[in-house]
Amino acid sequence: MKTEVLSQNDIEIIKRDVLEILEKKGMVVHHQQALKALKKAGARVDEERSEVRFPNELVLKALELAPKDILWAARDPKWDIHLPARGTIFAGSGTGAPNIVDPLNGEYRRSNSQDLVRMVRLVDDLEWIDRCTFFSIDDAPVQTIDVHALHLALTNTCKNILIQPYSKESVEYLLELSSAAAGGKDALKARPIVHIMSCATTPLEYKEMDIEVMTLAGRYGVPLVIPSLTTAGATVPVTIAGALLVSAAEIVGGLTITQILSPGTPVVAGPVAYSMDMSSGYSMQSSAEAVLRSAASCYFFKNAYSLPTQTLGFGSDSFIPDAQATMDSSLRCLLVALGGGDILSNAGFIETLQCHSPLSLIVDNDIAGIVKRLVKGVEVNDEILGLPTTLALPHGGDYIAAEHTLRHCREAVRPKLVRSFSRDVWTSQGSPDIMRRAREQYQNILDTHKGIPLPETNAREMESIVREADRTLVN
Amino acid sequence: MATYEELETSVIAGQKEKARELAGALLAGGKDPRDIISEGLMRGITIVGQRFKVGDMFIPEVLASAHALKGAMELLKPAIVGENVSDMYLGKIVVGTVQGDIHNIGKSIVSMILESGGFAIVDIGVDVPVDKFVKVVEQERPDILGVSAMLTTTMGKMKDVVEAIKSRGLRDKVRIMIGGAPVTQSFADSIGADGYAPDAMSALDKAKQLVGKN
Repeated sequence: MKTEVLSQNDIEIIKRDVLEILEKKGMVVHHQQALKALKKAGARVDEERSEVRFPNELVLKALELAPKDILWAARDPKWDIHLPARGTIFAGSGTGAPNIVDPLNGEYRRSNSQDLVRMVRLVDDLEWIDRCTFFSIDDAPVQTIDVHALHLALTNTCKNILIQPYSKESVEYLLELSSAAAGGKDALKARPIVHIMSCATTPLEYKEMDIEVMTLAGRYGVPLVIPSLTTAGATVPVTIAGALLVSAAEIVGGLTITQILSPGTPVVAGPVAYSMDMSSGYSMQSSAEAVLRSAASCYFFKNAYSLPTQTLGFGSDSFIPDAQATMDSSLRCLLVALGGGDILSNAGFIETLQCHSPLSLIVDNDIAGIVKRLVKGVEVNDEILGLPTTLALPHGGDYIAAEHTLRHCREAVRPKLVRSFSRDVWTSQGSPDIMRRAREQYQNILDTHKGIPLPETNAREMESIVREADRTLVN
Repeated sequence: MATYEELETSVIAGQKEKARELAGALLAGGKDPRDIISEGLMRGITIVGQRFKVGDMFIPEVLASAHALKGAMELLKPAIVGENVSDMYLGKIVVGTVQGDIHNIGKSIVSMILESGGFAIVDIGVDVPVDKFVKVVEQERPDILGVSAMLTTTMGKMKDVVEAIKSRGLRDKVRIMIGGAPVTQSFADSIGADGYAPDAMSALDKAKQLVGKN
């Protein structure tokens, strides 16, 4: 089930303007070698100012070259993600935040490696969360936080993982680590169990690290996601369509650079929409306009270029896992899914990506389950309609004992936190609200989580890569 | 005949051209430029500050007012004789984002609010090395140094800036304010900064407090 967020004419106009921005204004690319390669490929390069302008043909060729069917593999093939998502969505946790609201005592503090292991194990277990991430931890050396965090993630989940590198120097270690987990470079190429982020610096700029990521992603055969994290009214135009346009140009520019540096590397578009609150200056992810732009951006990439998208599908500007967080996450998830988003990211992240909440992650899992069912839409055929059952049923009868009911009674989605029982039963349980039930589920998952351990040789090699990264990068 | 009230209104409405015209007309009519500033421009920008604080004016509108003020000031400056124009400001603030950090917008918003509140701003940009902070403080002699960081990985540089200012013997000559998403009051205390503000409007209050003009 899809919603038409933009008209075909809207899409054509925006596509035209994307090309115009890339041709006339271009982008700033801070990478000397890349500038040379772009020039050789036919881009107009001003090396002194690091500015690149892309002739239309170059962009169109790159869009054609970028694969449309993409595999994000998982250590357990049951969790392979085949893009584009057809008739469903894929859900994923959020990335980057350094803080956590402790699920047991509500304390707000920096996250550590134990928090990360718990988050990864939750994701590994949660039925409707399809891919994992890592976040910043405060008990690893600053220079290798990402290396330590990825190591923990690869060890504790068999689902695909998004890599957000924190420095140019660590990118190669992150990919080596992934290769060791997959069982070697060829194995990683054949079944990439990670994908990696090369994020634009808005507006219209790519830093050295992000260009480095594009190059190395190609070398290691790891799919890319190119996020453009934009704040309407601050880094991009204040209007929904104006912001969508600049953000789209940034991503298409990044995709063009990728296809020149690493031809054939799969790219997922990652439009991330914030809006600036005009009276406080704060960036909000849950304003109506930001949510609508997220959906419109996904719709645009899908219909303009047949490119899969990953965007914030969950999360909130709220500081704690409360009613506001749940409201924000639900509205966002449904609209982005209806707009055609493929991977809905950011489950379990609140405070505008600043903070992880395990309880929100568990609530978001339910939201994902419900929304997956909603976007599947209504199936209509003779068996589903059950006409013979209705005709055979005497007036005054019921469907409870019907064969048709028996055949289909397990098809309904059953959210984990929603229970239907009497008020008396609920009262006798201590009248738990949704967050208390989430806390119970949190304990339950962590008490029982087993996971699939990595082969011992892979694990040993990963440990030596982490040690090597510490030795080289930590001074 | 132009009036101070009209000038005040043009600043509030963010009409850059009109503010310049009115300031020019008042000057041509024989008014003292210092009076034009205090009775017209500053009254206008004070109301802008008040309205912004209660959420009645938005950031882009405040920016337009600040531009209108600045345009009229430029016009009046040459007419002020025998007096340092910088004395008309509440104080001078140098702002910059620490090395390794390229985040600009938060700093720009804060600068703009400080400017509209009556401070002179020297913005030295992003990715600023510690040495440059020290050098600019030596050259510009600001009342306040504002240091910004957006990342947990770069906020440690703020401490280096404070230490470097100290070791150059400048610590008692400048007040240091810090800000940015990961910054907290306890962090500000721990590195020995004089002030921290969680948002742009309280940054203005804090700056006024630090220069003793609140």
